[in-house]
Amino acid sequence: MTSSLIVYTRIVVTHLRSRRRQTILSALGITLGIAFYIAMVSFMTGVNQFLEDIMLSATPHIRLYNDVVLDSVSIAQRWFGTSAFVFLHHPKAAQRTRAIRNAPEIVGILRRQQQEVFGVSPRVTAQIYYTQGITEIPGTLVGVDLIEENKLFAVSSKITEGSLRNVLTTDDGIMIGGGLADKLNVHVGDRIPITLSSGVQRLMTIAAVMRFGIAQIDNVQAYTTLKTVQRLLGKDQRYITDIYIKLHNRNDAPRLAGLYTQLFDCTAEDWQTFNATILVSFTIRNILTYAVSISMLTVAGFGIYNILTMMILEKLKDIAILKATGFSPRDIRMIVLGQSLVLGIAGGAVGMLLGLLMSFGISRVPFRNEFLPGMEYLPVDFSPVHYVVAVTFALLAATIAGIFPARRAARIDPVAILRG
Amino acid sequence: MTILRATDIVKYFTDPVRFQVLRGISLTVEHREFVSIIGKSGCGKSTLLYVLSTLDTDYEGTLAIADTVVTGRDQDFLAHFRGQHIGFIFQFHFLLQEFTILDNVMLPALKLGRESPATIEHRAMDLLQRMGIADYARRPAKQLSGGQQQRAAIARALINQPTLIIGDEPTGNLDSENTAIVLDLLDSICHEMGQTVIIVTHDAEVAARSDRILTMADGKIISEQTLR
Ligand SMILES: Nc1ncnc2c1ncn2[C@@H]1O[C@H](COP(=O)(O)OP(=O)(O)O)[C@@H](O)[C@H]1O
Ligand SMILES: [Mg+2]
Repeated sequence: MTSSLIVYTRIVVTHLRSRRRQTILSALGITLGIAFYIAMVSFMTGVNQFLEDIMLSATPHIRLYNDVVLDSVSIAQRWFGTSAFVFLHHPKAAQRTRAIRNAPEIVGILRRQQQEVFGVSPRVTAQIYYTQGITEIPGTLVGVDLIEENKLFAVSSKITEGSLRNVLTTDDGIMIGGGLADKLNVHVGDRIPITLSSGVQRLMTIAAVMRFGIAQIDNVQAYTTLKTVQRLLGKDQRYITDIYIKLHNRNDAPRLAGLYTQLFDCTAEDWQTFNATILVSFTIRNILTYAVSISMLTVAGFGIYNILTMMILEKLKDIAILKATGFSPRDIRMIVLGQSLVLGIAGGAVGMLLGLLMSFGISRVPFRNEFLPGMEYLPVDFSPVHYVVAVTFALLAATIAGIFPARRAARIDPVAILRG
Repeated sequence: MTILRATDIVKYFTDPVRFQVLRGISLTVEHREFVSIIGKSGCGKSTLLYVLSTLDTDYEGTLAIADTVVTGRDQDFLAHFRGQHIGFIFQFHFLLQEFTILDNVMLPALKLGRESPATIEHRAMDLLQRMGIADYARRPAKQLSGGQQQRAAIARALINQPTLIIGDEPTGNLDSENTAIVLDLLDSICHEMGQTVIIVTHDAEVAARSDRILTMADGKIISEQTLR
């Protein structure tokens, strides 16, 4: 067996060396295929991870809130009992209250679940209008426990102007989204009038500007303390509309969300559910990357197939001689397959190196964007998984490309060729 | 001891029309015999040699070599069997052109894998020495003349010390000087090294050196003449 391997290797190497240019060209096909695959996948994965990190940095793992509900049983039905027929035309959705019932107690319970829960942040939201001259711009004012919110979402790192401390110490101070600040043309220290849907008006002070890199926050929201919003709404301290929960392991979210829905009198939603569309876009981007890469490798595979087929036609005599001198059809198959694999391995190895270089090059391209804080260069994921997949692909492409030429070579009838 | 026994070998070609090339050939060859086959061009000599060398399996009748019936065996078996028992010298010195002379000679033995590469190389150099082309051992085959290549092909046929050496006009393309060298070699193979030789030849002088001459015509052996 080992002696066979030595012989195979000698024949493979000699045949490939005698066709140096074609050999290099067809190996180059695999090289480029692998290199582009690695560069593309590493870059795409880097971008996906960056975006996912941004997305998850600002979203809770589980959100508790009171949903708009249509009571399936009307008050009249309840009054008359099941023995009476009650017909109600056009029932309207009645939200009993936006507040979560017993919110402070729920927060207390959750904070004690320290094995699973990393942090809990209660919030109160209010729909408001910012008044700028004669135009009114809609937005959301979010009252939060700023200290807890900062622990959950690293809010202070998203501040581009002002500080968290400033918000806490300023009377009616708000931390406004960057997009909104641009639109309103306001800076720290400026004052801006807001109107609540109830008609209540108030003058707020810009204490900080935050940029999460997420349009839904940056262009719409402003943060302030819980108490400020509760007061604006004319509610007491028990009035909480949302509870944001971060877990130690985000994959626990669906299970725990189900549990909380049963346990508490409110709706619990996991991040996978309310980010479903974004997750789908990640998947589609991945599919696209893989499709492009696989087509490139297929083209490379055809290159190998071509050179092997050509080589066999040129080497009919050699194959006949080998068969006449003791080489079996199986030996011939192994030799041709060996040539294919050498092309695949050599091309793949150089391709991995080139791919690494290209990935490194991409990761040094400066890319700054005020809407994507934290990004200085294009994001690239250098995980070895991509390289392992690439090698597997290269060997697979080479093997498949080699199978048919190998079988064809093994079937050659030596007598027909040796007769001349 | 009988080395080769062919019984009622019949072969047809179907292209372009079906015709019978070999019409019932029976023949036995003894150990250490040097047999030559002569006959007009196109009478089926080469075809018979391809059958006897197990390369051509599309025939009727039975063939046994070295006490083994080879008729009906599969290609993998036959390939190994050829490596072990048969050395073939083709009409047109077929060497692997991109390989060195030494590689050409060594490859069948390396494939058979009975001995270490060092032992094989040693014997290959020995054979090339006897063929008078040891100086060219490391040269690619394509750089050598026809006569030199034919001598290398003979060395290759001998490398595995096969039971049977089959040659199809091994001197057909050689000048008289090279012919003499090759003939001396074949002679000594049989009478000194104890191997068996079957060759096809056109050359009456060559045939005269053999132990037995078989004459073919129209796919049959029509006469047999024992010289020694
Ligand atoms: N592959 C083939 N197909 C059809 N006819 C063939 C083929 N090979 C040889 N022949 C014919 O078979 C006959 C015998 O050929 P061959 O054995 O080469 O004769 P020889 O070697 O005695 O000159 C010739 O008539 C030749 O034309
Ligand atoms: Mg002939």
